[in-house]
Amino acid sequence: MGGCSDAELVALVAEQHRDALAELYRRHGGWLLARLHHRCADDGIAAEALQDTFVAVWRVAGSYRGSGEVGGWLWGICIRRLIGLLRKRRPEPVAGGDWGLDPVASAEDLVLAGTEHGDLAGALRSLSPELRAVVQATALDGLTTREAGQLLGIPAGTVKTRMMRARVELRGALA
Amino acid sequence: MDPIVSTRGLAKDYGRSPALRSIDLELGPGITGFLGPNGAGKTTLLRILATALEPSAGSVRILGHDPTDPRARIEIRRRLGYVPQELGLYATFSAFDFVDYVAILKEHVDRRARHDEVRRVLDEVDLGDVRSKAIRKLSGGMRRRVALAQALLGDPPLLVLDEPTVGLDPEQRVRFRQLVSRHAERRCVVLSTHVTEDVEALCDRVVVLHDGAVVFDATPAELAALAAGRVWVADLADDGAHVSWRTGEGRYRMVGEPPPDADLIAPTVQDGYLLLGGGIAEGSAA
Amino acid sequence: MSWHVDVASADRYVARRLDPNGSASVEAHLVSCAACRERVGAAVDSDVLEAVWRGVTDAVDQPALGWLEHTLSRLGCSDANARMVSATTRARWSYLLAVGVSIALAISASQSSYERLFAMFLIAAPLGPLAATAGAFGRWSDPAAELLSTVPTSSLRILLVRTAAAVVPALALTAISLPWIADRGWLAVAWLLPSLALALGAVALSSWTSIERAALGLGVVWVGAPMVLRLRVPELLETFSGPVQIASLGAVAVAVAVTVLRRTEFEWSEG
Repeated sequence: MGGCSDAELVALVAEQHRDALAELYRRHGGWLLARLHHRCADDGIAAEALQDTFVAVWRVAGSYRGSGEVGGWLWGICIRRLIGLLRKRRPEPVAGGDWGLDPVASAEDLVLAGTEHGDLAGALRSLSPELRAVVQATALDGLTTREAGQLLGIPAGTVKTRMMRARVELRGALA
Repeated sequence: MDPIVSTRGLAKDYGRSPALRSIDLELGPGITGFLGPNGAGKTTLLRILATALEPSAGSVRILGHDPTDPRARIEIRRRLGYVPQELGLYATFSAFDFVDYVAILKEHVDRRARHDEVRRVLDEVDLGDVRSKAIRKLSGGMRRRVALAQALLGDPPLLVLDEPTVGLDPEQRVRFRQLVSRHAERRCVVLSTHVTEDVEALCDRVVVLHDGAVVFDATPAELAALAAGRVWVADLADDGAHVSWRTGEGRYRMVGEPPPDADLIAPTVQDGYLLLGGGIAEGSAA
Repeated sequence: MSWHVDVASADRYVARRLDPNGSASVEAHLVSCAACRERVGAAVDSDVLEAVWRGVTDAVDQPALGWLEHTLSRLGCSDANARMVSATTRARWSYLLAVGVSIALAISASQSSYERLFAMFLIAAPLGPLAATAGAFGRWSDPAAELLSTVPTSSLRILLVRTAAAVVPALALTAISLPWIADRGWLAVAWLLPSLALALGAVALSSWTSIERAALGLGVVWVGAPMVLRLRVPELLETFSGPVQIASLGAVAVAVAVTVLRRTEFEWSEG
């Protein structure tokens, strides 16, 4: 089991092998939880999202098409589970406002895959926190505008307008 | 120490044909193997010990109770694990679901504790990995392990296993023996088998049944000893031998009355058992 | 990949004390680096991870509840009873076949105005629940019968739960035929009591013999009686509305009494 690749593990999970699920959890449970903590200040909700994630993995392992990293696929399931839980506790997204959950302040800079320092990161740092959060949610976490709105507690329309403003400012900063 | 199982004059008839005639036995902790040809009464006896069958005559005491008394029977069943000869599993259930169902019927009421127990027994038989698979997707050896797992629920002091190694490959057979000997330390395990190597490797005691009666009841070493001085090898088969067969090395192994200059070898349990069947042995050490 | 997450950064990231730039770097990196994932994972509280894993195990091990079991437990049925019902109804071909035949008969009876066909329906309908009952037990339909005969749960209780599990749906499905025969008035349900009588009768008789034999015997008697008595259709319908109902009621009472009195006989498996 230890010698299998992540993709092989997922294939085994699809064939209902429990040991494979356990190994997948052993490899990925930790960092997924840490990342969840960076999106949601409530530890209980984060733990619940992680649990729901692996229960979901058991059921949908067959749908992993082998494209892209398993880690990315897992995070995709994870963040959507988190959004689902947050939505249950916060039925209507409201513009701005502090709901005791603080996803915006957690990762203020955006780093696109591979790029660590440089102009782009600096330009992003020049954006205001709300704009940065929106860019992070859609680009780094790969969420749709609606999902980003649910995560951040703002309407989808606000997400769109902030994205447009962010793009304008970035273009200006990079020019 | 009180015997865990004792029978006196135990008999069972099906209509007019007797399946068991006046069996007297006392079994304590440890592993007892029942040998005998088909129709000897092994399954009938084991079914009676498992409280699946009612005796026709004689007395039986299992775990200190009389199984013909309804209330006592339930007490016995609470401390009994049974694997019948025909596996009888539900093909569409997962291994976990099936063992969980049996656990419910064995009065494991609390769901959380029950699930922990189901996981424990499935891990014991090495089926933890595939416990969510439907039984129809499991191999024959795995299905046998599911049946064994349900018998281990609740850690019963008495285990009754009817031909438990049928269909197991040698590796699975060894694993089974390890599992059973681990379990048998303070408990009574009763099993029936055709495989004399199982008896040799596993049992503290062997009882040979023939035509519904006990013809031998002692240790496997003593059963082998019946054939002492009566097993030899030669290059050609001897017609006077009771039984002979060709070994892998191209020689013949014979059991019976050896000629004067025969190349004698150490007897196995199988040799003793074969001799017993032929009635050549001096009589059973009962 | 030249840059990796060192232990100190991993600790700071997990503790949420890493600078925002660094956090984002770590997150982008982890998606494709197994070694760093291990490092970060090691810094996370293992008790929480253990607890979450226990939750995952419990949720995944949860037996697959069919809609039937789910409904039953909602109605307050205990785990044990609900599971017994589920085990009885899963993959019971004989059962489905029996009910299918009943419905086919009902519908064909409705297609004609002949009293004769309706009378045939009344006779045939109770065979459905009877077959379903026999199908719910016995060696040839329950592979685990031998094993289940040695569990401490009372065999009678198992028997009753499973009889109910077999008979109730069979009755319900046969009742689907009602719209087609509603014009017959109350005679449309005249087969209900006889169904119950036959099914419970088979259960009671199974304390002496196998349930398959009991069901077969009763089925033959039930179907054969009108033939032997040479009843004409009008007479048949007459008997159904009165004497048969009363006799069925009596039979149900006797069957229940016999079952209760001989309940210890159900504890043994068959020879």
